[in-house]
Amino acid sequence: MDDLKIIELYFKRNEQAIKETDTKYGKLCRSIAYNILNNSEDSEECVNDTYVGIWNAIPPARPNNLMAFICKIARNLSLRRLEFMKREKRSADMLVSLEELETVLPDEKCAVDMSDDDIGKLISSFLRSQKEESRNVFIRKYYFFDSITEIAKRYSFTESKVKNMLFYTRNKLKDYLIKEGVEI
Amino acid sequence: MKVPKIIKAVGYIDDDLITAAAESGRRSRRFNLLKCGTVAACFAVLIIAGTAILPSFFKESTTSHNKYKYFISGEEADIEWPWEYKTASEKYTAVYYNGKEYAIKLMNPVSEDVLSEELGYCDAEGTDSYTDRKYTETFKVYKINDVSEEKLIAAGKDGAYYVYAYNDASRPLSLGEMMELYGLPQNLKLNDFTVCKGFDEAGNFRISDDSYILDILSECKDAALCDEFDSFERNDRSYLSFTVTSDALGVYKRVVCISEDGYFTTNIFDFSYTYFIGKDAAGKIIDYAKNNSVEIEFNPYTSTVSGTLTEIGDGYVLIDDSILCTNKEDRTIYKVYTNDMRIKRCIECTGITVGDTVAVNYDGEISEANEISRAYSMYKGTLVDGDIAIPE
Repeated sequence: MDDLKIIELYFKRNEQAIKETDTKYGKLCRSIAYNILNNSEDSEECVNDTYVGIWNAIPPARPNNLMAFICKIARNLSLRRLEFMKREKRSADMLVSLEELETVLPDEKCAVDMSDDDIGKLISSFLRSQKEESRNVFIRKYYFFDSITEIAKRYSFTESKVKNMLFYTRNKLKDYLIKEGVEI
Repeated sequence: MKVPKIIKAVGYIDDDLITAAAESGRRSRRFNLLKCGTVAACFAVLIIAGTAILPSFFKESTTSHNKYKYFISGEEADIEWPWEYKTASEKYTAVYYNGKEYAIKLMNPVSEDVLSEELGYCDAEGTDSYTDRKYTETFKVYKINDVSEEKLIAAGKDGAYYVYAYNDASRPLSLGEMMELYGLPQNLKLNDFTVCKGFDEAGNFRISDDSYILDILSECKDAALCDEFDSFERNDRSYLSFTVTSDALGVYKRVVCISEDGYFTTNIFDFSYTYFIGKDAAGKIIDYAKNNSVEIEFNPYTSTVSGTLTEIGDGYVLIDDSILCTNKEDRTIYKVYTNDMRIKRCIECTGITVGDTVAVNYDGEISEANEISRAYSMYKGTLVDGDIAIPE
């Protein structure tokens, strides 16, 4: 179903909206949640929470981009749940992603007046200046938390090429954030 | 645990970037049979982004290019195997030695010939993802011949040792430093190569003696690291691409490229390293290789046989490729030994049964009696005969 029609169903408070969302974006939500949480049960709960979140948000929200809207909710809820998970249940891939990106901007070096939203805008500007394939690989890794193997398969790259692209993009992002005064 | 601020910030990137990445990469792919001039239509290359399986026509090609009319398409399933079905390298993907974490470099055990002195013991840790139960083992650690233990070690037990690598961010700043750290003159074999121009390939060749090439590289020890991403762009470049397989370095079919404009680049250490060795040295290597080589057949990355699974016996299976054949009388029945845990689990855990159309990946050679002793993977496929869409 077309996104606009799905949004209209939410506005009409028609529960079919959730079914249509699940049909169209359920797989995407589950993959984000599972990549972060590494556990089917937790992921499924997170996906359900995501649908509740969408139901509560629309209306009044009328997202221009429903897919991104849903991804953001699923990602945020999954990350929040990750914070409370026991160490042994966390995915090694996910932890590596966290560590890799934390080297770009350690929390203690982040300018105190910068909000996540502000830094997100700068990251967007930075990513727009990168080659399309490097940009997409970066987003697949650190937004969707795909594994290196999955990314390599998705783009028909070798795993070493993916690692390389991420390595260089991280380094460039670090330089960019320093230049923009985000890292102090 | 606290999620770092930067991870949360990435969550606020613009919507269009998210959807572009979500929709990128995966598209409906078609694959084509590339007919090869006068050779009949069945000698083909299947191109899909995942795994396209060609039957073992490489073995047959010298005698019967027309043998196969059909091919099998399928993808190896990405299965999280139960703990008891995992190999040691799958169970213990990291070991802790001298306070540092080393990650598995090659999933296959290495030959004991590459081990030198015993360095002591390390802790290996793994978690059974089905039960979340944590396992620990003590592995014996060996130095690998001529390789610094700061970079690579061999660890394992009961005669099965695996290469583990310490992945620090530091990179050898010169070719000489890299050659010394990894003992490349001893551990690198540069015998098989492909002549390349950009992304086009112009034949596969083999030299019997690579010592001249290694000598030239040893003289380039001051060659500096080119510290930029993709400093070795292949577009419009003429180069030789050497295939590198080395137990000691824990690599299987990676490459070392030498370009006419003077660059040495390799992906054998996962990150690509590029060094400028100069046009003169590169020219000597390329000239030597071209003038002292013989042309060889293309060697696929993965060797595969496919057909119908006709029997599951005690320690073996039989695969009959007659459904693929133009003439059924040309069929071959392969006996695939299933002693290796990696192949045994495909049969016991994935529901493959007699009558299924399957593909088997293997290492090594097929014997004269059509026996395959080093199979490591089996999966179901679909019979295809031409230009059809592969479902996602």
